[in-house]
Amino acid sequence: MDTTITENLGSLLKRVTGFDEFRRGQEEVIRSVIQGRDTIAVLPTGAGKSLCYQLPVHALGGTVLIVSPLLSLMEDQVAQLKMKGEKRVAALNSFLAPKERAEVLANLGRYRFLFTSPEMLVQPHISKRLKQLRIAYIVADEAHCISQWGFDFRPDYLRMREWLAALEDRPPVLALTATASEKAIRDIADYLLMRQPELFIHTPDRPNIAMELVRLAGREEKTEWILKNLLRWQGPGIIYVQSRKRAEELAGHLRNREIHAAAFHAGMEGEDRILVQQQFLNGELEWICATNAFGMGINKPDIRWIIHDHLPSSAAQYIQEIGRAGRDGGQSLSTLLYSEGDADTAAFIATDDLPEPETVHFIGKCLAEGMDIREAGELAGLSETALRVISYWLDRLGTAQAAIQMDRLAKAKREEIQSMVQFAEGAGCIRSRALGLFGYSPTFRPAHCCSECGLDPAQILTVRTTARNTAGLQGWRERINSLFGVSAEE
Amino acid sequence: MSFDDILLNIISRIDGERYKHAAFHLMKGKRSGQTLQDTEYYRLHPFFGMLPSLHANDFDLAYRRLLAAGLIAEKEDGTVFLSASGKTRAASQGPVRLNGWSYRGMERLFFARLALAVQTVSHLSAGDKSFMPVTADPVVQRDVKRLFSTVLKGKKPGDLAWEMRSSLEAAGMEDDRLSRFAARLTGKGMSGMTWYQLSEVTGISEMDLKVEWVETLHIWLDSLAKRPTPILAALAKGVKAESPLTGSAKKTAEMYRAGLGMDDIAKQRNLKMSTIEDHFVEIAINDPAFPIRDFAAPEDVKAVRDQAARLATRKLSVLKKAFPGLAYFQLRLILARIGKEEGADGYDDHGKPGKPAEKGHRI
Repeated sequence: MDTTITENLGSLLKRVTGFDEFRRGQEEVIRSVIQGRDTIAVLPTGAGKSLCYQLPVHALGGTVLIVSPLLSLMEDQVAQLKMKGEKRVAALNSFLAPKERAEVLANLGRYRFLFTSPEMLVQPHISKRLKQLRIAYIVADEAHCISQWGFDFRPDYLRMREWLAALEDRPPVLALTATASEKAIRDIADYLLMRQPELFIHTPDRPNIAMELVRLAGREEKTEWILKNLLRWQGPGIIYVQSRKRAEELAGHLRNREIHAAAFHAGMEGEDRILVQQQFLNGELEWICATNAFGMGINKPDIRWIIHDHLPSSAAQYIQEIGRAGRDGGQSLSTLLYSEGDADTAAFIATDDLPEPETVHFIGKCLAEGMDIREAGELAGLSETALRVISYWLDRLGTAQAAIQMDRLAKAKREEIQSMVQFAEGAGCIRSRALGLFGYSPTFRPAHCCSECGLDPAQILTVRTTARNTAGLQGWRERINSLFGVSAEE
Repeated sequence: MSFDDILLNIISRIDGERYKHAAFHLMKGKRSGQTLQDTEYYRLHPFFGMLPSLHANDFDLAYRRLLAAGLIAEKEDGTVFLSASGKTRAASQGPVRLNGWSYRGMERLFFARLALAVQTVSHLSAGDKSFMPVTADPVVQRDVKRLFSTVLKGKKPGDLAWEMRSSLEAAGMEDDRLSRFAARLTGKGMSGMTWYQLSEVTGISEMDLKVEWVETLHIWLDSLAKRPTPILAALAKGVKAESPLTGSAKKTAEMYRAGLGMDDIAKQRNLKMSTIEDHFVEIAINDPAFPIRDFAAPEDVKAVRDQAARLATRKLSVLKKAFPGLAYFQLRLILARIGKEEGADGYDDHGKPGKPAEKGHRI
């Protein structure tokens, strides 16, 4: 049985994608899904995770239901499938107009790939329709978001458990993520009600990304370091920053030095965010100064350099963000700029969305008095995320336990930051220590390993050759003509 | 016209009778009875819904600039009025070219479709079938996709380029303005500029650029309606508001016409009475055949009208003092009918049920 599947998998791959060979890690996952097993796959960024859920359905038939916690990511994956010529794909999310949603719902059986969000999943009329569907398997994408221990915890994702529990004959579940600690993997298996899941865990090590750690006195020194180095060496790259203000500030400094850079953060209009991504993909921008709003779903293979202007709040976030470099396999660099004060800011940001136990008690009291949860949240001055977290735990645990839970979560976050501080202040091979935060060790030591192993960035970076001019405003007739590639006379 | 000048223009129309919030809600296109009523009384149609995602902060900054420049001032009760220099400045302004009432934010849909169509044609003509769409909105994506199997089928890239050039030429706008407009479009190997980037290149503030962009779309769409070209007309389909009523008010109007009373409508629709009242004010504003006699005695209507004219006010609180026997709702309805042509409000003209509103404004 196993051998036939292996043989078939090769030809299936060829038929569907045109590729001759699987990338490392893909084949085992695909086989496990085809065999109907619950599967957890932890594959490093750039390893071709999407193929793991895209291929099995071609052998099994029916519909794949992909649950994705991030709307932007969902749209992106739909777009990429369509780009590859897949027509039987749809997203069922809150972006849809009522008429459109009705249309998708009426044609559910037609789709090979159906993307949806956890919130949609639990809506009774949608849930009912989905249950009538022949689902080949269910995919939980970015599954680390389901874990309360993950840096990207999305309480809504937990609703998937309720939905799965209500299914009489549950199809197999495939959980995909790039980074998950042992704790998070336990959470994933538990929340998704998996039955003896097959685990395929690959080290998050990316040998083609050299790791550099630079200790500096403070923010001004960081700015100086960035400007000096970016004038000398070329990108394209991303600078991850802590705040919108810092993103704007750094991008401004770079532009003043004729380096094409733009800020990217959640405060910008949606259209402008797309334009910035577009410019970056096109090579019109060399650097993006971004908050962590940027990255998920970005598919630029030739990013050469990731710089962290601040201490990431967890190892998982750090690894995820540097993993956006060098997806084409080319030699790339990641630089962490660290100063002593970083820990406090990181702690503040990481726990900002986490309500205090007193706040939980306050909200609980308001609710008991019959107040609407939104109103109570406004009174307490809570962010939307904080309110979602509270609302989820209040529902399930009651006030007292929910308050304790908040404390537990805050403690866990502080511990994660503490281990990042130890990482940044410690000595010894950076790669080994970064992987050690997940319980892995490097498979081998690459030639360009890290600044502790004698890395010389000059050997892998490209010298900046041209100072580019900023383009002025084109005349409108000229621009329209060049958009369509026509000459003025046509 | 700059954002500040537009705000000044709006204030010149509500001079001394409204608070600053009235201008804010108007620009955002809030569909409340009050805002719709203001729009009608003070002839604010061009500005209605011109900036649906306007932030209160940006608005306040502009408002404070006008205050600091001495162009406007606030009375003790907080209502805002024009100073002498404000009046001079307002009088020297060019004509308003916005047409918010007709498009109500939907001009953005036209642009989103246009931008995606341009991007798609641009990539396809360069032999590139896969690209990241400039809009993530699946509705827009589907709209444009449909066009490629209908009006865009078999067209050459030059056809769309020609339509855009000649249609923009015919709309009679300045070259500089159009260059700023075209800079937002994306094609193969050439991305559009963000507002921030456009602001850096031109030295014009982001806010003023956004206002100009909306105005450009309104001017173009108005002109396009008179001289339609095949592809652009398809892209503009459904962008102009067909009925001046909001969807919900329309439903209330239908139920009322079918013979239901206000209480019944509120109950059946599970809406608050105040919402239904807002709907009726909206209908009274927009439907020339609105039967005001069903809601107020003819002599009351006349008395309120005369009083409003004598005091030169449309402030409810003032009129309520003069007519304590009338409900606020009645006063609002009567005010809604001021300025409507005589004889068109259901007294002499005994209803033409089902007939479309002929004398309504800018429908």
